[in-house]
Amino acid sequence: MIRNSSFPKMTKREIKDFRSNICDVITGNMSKEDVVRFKKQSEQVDATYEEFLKSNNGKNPILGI
Amino acid sequence: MGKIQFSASDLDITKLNEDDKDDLSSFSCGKENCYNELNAFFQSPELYLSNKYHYYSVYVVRLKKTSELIAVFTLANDCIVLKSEEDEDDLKEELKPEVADEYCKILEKQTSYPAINIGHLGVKEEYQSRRIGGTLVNIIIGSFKNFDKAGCQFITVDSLNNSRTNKFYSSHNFSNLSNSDFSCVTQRKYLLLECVK
Repeated sequence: MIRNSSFPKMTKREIKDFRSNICDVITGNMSKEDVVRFKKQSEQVDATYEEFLKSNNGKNPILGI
Repeated sequence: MGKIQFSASDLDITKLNEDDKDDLSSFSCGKENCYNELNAFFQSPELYLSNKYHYYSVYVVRLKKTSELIAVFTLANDCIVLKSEEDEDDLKEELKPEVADEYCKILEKQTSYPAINIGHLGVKEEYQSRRIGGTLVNIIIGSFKNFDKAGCQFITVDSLNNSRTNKFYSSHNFSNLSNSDFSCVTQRKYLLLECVK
């Protein structure tokens, strides 16, 4: 949806958590459950994307390439 | 008999053009109040103007077999900005031990993060619960996780704030950016693309 307000104001805690989340992903400091969860999602995304490209003769109509 | 499920190869995605107007005039995501604004947007001149003036790029999704218009979504460049009044030194200290060395110096400086925003995503009512929304989200994630012509670290969405939509984006591992929009009509969510690389 078109956002109906300005960006939500983040608390100091939320900003810390946001950054800490990025750090955890970049450094691989994730729980086993998160690793499994994201691996599964990554595989699903890749499979869907490959199917999408294949059905468009290798081109991506969103990116125009 | 269960509903027929669709996959990426069943869908034809194109940029919005004037020929889509007729099909969009009857397009509806549902009669519930929470969809009123979304339905109205898809049927309004605003949709075409947003597309024309590059506020959003609007994409229509048709079934390959029948050419029926079954979904619409919009994309825009976006940015997550941390309006932090907290001092940056604090942040640097906090991050130093946590981040991979090779990226540490860059991350220290970042107070904004490039993103692609899913502005609107609507699936025609009779085609809901057939994996179309999920497939589209995966195609968008896949497109930008593999896109390296410009920086893009996140997919963001300002999603309708109702239990069904929240559950949908949670199932794709989107997180809420803040609790401050907890009771707003839309909630801002994000997915770090690095998570799915």
